Amino acid sequence: MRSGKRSATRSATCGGILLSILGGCAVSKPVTTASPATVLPIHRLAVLPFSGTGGSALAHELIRQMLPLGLTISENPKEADVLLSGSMTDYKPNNKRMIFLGQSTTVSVSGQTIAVSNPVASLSGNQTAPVDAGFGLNGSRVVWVSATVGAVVRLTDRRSGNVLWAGEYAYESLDLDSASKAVAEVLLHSLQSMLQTPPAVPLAASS
Amino acid sequence: MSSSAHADLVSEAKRHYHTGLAYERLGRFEEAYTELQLASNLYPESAPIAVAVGTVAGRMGRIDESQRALEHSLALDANSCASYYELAMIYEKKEMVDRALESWHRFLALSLDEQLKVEARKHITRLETHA
Repeated sequence: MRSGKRSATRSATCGGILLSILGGCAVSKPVTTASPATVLPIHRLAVLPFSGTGGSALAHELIRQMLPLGLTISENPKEADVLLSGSMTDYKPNNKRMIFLGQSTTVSVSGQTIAVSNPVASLSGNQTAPVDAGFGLNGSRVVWVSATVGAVVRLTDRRSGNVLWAGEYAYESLDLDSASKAVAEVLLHSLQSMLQTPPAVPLAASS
Repeated sequence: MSSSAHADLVSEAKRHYHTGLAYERLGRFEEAYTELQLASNLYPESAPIAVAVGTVAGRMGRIDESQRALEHSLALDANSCASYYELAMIYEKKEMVDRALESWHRFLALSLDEQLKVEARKHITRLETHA
């Protein structure tokens, strides 16, 4: 299955870039720096339209999940320090799974014969092969349908065009909304791990 | 109930069951659901019928009905592989994280389909990390 190959998020930082997403604060905090000349504080982020079917839904979901985190999101890309863009790799509402009803005798990959109740098959054709199924008669089966959403997302420095971070994830869920929500959640978690909000300034230090 | 009367009920349930599955294959889910419910009412001790009801209800978007039928199927057969798979997705949708995790773990233990086992592990990782 395609989503299985994309199970891990990947992130990459462009060395020498200072990242700091500020929730309305005027102070920036470096996360990675190599040279003062390349320091780029990030004050505003813009989410560009994602290419591919379902792209607008996923972009909307990412924005929805980013807002409570205190990120400053601009609707105008020209006002942003960084741009979040992406493309959809999957947006399928109908992944079919075959349910073999009843007690089935199933042959495993190793050739072992095992009795299973109501087994599920991914229909890829090479994992399991129910020999007999169903309530006294062969051939009793029903189809379960799920949805898969997958995307590749990049965070780019608007001025230099450098890619600061990239993530890829796909997920199967009951419906497209649930899958989009999970994909946005995981991508955002990966993105957040390289961003730090400014630490609280102690009162004594600020006076 | 006499054994012959019970046999008649089971026979009638089987008829509705197979009619329901035939409708399901044609994509006529309303009729399929009605037939399968009739089968379930006549023979509520059948786990496969309960799984069929839950699966068709799920395809119709009747998530609560699907959940009830699938949980009933597990009360009848605690090793029903499909019930754990479908319930895991329903629990995730409803953000019932603990139940979803338990269902994925049970599915992982029962399933022989390597592709679906990979998928189950991925769900477990996400639920343990992000949910």
